[in-house]
Amino acid sequence: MRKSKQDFWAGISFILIGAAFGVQYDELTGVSRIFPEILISIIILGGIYFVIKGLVQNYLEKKLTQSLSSSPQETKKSDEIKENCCVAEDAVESISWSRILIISIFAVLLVFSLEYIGFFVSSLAFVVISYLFLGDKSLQRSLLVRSLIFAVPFIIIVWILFVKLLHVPTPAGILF
Amino acid sequence: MNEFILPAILNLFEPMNFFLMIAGLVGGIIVGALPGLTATMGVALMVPITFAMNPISGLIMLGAIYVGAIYGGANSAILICTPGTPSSVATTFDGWPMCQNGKADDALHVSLISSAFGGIIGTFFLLFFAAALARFALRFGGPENFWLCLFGLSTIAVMSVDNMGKGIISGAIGILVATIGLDPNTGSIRFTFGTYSLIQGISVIPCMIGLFSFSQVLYLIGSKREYIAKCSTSSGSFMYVTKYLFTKCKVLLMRSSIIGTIVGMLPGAGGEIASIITYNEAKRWDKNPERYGKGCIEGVAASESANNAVIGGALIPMLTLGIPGSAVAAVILGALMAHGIQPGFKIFTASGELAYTFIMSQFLVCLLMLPVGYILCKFMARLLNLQLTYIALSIVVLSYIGAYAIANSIIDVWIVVIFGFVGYFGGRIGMDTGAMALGVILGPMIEENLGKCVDLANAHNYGIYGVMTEGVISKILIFALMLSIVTPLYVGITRGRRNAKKGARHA
Repeated sequence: MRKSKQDFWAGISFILIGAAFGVQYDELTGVSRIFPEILISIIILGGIYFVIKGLVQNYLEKKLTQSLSSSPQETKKSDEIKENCCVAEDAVESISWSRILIISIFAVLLVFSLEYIGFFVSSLAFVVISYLFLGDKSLQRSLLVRSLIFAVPFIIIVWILFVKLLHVPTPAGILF
Repeated sequence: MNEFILPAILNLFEPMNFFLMIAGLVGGIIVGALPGLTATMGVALMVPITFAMNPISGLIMLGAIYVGAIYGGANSAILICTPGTPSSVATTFDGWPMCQNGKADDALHVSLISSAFGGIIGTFFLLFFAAALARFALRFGGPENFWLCLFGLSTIAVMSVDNMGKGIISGAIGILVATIGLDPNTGSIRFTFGTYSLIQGISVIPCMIGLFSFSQVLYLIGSKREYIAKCSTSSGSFMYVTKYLFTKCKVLLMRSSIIGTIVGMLPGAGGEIASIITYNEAKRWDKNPERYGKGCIEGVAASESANNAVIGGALIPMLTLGIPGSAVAAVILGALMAHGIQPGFKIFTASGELAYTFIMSQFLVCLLMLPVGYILCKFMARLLNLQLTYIALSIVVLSYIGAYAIANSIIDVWIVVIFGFVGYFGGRIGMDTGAMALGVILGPMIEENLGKCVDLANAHNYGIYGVMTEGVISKILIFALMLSIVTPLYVGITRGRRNAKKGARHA
């Protein structure tokens, strides 16, 4: 992501976070109000600063790129500037958004199911199903077998460690 | 004192006590390494078991669990970027990059040796300077603690030199998040977003698990890599790290351990604050601060020596005054009292054998941690040979059970998910999750101590400025805070000028 875009979206996020808290602090009075009020002001003002900074940077980048790309010998310099404007990690590693979406959906579904189905059954299902989607499909043994080989012992170890040895309560649900 | 030392040493080598030390250490390391399970929880779980033992054996075991759990937190911080205990937050800053650079075994050994070193220094202070240091700790009131927390918060300036604006706002968001729930000063309810469960506030641990652990799951799954990092365990790693630490990091280890001990003595300020402050100081005093955050040994050493030195510090006011310096010390205090032992200066005379056996056991536990931790490191490093998908899915399950275990509340699991998304997507737009974590940890203390200052000002008619700046300790902390903020700015400006000069020369 370009730095100008980063700054712009960071600014928007800061404003939204500040506003989410800001709409609630009308209910507060006296000393309870002062501390959050200062913080919300800092966050929103910072957000506005980054939105403006992002927009200005974006305008300058476009202007600079246009002026440099107008002459062919300057194209290389223009590419260098573009590279400098991007975050290094993006260049090094590409991101699989589909995989992130899959794990996010299953992780959220797991939270919903914890209280209704029970921690251990839900977690077993989560590991197996997620692995079917995210596991390495190039290996010979089937995904289901590999996921079960890992998931069943793992869940049993977690159960022994947390429930039997450390007596940590887990959401029970209708199953286990 | 001298008459108690020899019986104390003899007590340690009783087979039962020796076994309890090793068992406590192993148990503590496992509890510490599991995200969500804290040292407090580990020690509290074992208190009822001590009732069946004699007080000396019980205390020895609780002390060993405490030491093991604080060290154990570093293992998960290094291997899966999940601080096992809040004390290990700063260990992730360099431990995780070391792991990603294929130096997981080096990082694990650094944390092991530094933890043992910090623990020994902390215990040394406990043994020889307990009374004097306890009196010093009593001088920390609301204003001093307020400035200390702000000093801890100033780490943001050091952590994010190139991104200070976003770092400061991320820290402010962290503090704002910490205001959710009951106001510590007035008791009024704030920012619950209509959810009753949020009245209890946002727990630090689920928040840390989300910011550092769940966000890493998203990062790892999205990276398409097959393994977290190449795990190349080299046989000479332990010796190399030992040599490196005791030749190039002597001063850093000593400084971090002393700071850890002092912070540990202060009620409410625990390993998380100590490790953050020492990380900050290590970076500030280093000739090449740029290498911090990219996987440098010094970063791990500073954080880990400090959080284990906190143990000795936290036990000082507990044993001498009956005021616990940390939550774990409070649990141990409870165990002491349940055994009919009254803490206070008299403990060193009336129950001298018990007190000195406990202190000497802390020395031995720190030494035993080296072989026990070394063996466990071998197993832990092998975790990296597992496929990335397996590890990522396991982290989700462990994060959820760990978060749920804090208060048996499903809201804590939601906090993990929400902060996980904030950590991942916030990181994509340059937000500083480390700074946010600092805000969440230090926020309640800052507000509470600010409230105390306001109350003091109202009571004495000094005015808030007078209260905040009164006393030598406050003045020293204000000076240190100013230095902490100005130094990175100065470094940034000089670096900018240097780069500009270089650019001009090349042109």
